[in-house]
Amino acid sequence: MSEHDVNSQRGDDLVDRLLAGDDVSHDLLKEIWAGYPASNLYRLVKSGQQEAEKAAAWIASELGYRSTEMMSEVGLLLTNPLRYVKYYALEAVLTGATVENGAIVGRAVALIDNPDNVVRWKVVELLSRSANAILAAAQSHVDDVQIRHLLAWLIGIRATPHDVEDVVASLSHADAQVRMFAVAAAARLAYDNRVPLQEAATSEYDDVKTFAQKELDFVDSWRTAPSWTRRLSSHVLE
Amino acid sequence: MFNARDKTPVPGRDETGKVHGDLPGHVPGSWTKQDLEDAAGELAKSIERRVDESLQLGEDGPHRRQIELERGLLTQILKKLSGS
Repeated sequence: MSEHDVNSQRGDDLVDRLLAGDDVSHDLLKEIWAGYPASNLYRLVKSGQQEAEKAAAWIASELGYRSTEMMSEVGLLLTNPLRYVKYYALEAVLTGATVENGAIVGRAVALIDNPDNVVRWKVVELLSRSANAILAAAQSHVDDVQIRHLLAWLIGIRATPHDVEDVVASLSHADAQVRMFAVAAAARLAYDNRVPLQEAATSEYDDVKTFAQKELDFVDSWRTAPSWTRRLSSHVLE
Repeated sequence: MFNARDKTPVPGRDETGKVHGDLPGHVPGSWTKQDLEDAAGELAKSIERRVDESLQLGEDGPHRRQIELERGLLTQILKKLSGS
């Protein structure tokens, strides 16, 4: 039996054990790093078992850029009712989605109107940190007219005086959805101009303020990060 | 995310603010002092993010184990940096 076959057998066995209720998510993740195909997690995603679906979402989020390999499964996880599953599926979209995954990114963006505020703010994080090209690929897949309009607005934002003023004004808009897109825009601008995000961090709206404060910390943390981690500032507005 | 060098990759965060990848179980001898300092900073921020997530999503076995792995590596790195 080849090393590949052994890895495949071990991976399949771990999927079986997860389906049987064993907590072996971490072992399966290690097996994927060793070569087991991430797309084989479809068995967990389609199992109808909450714990198996949670394991699939967590593993997808831990794969970083390799979550691209199971983006179809991630798309299904986005429709799962559990906060935990949606949260980690959104994270997998952030790291793994490409311009080929416009429909899945569109599904992720549409969760901005989810009743769960943790899910909504995870979407704002996705909007804050995804490359323009990825968000642009999602536009035509967003059915909700307002969300599609706001997404187009976000993609068009640049660090010009006019746009900065527009973003700052939108931070205190009466519509909560507009405010969420505005704080995402402020976060995207922060690598060039911190003023909108600093304004957001003193917002009268608690959720905007909390998100902005965390995002300011996040942006600052890249200033001292090693060079190979500095991806965000170079791609979010391109 | 890992940097592309011809040695054991040094952990670095990605867009999620966390370190992802197959972490080494011990500090690789090939890492320079700068690598150790970089890895320590990245792991510390990743752990902070993961702990924050635990508060939002509740206690979770796999996530807790990942935090333990990152803390374990960070502790080894700090020991190496301190010369002990």
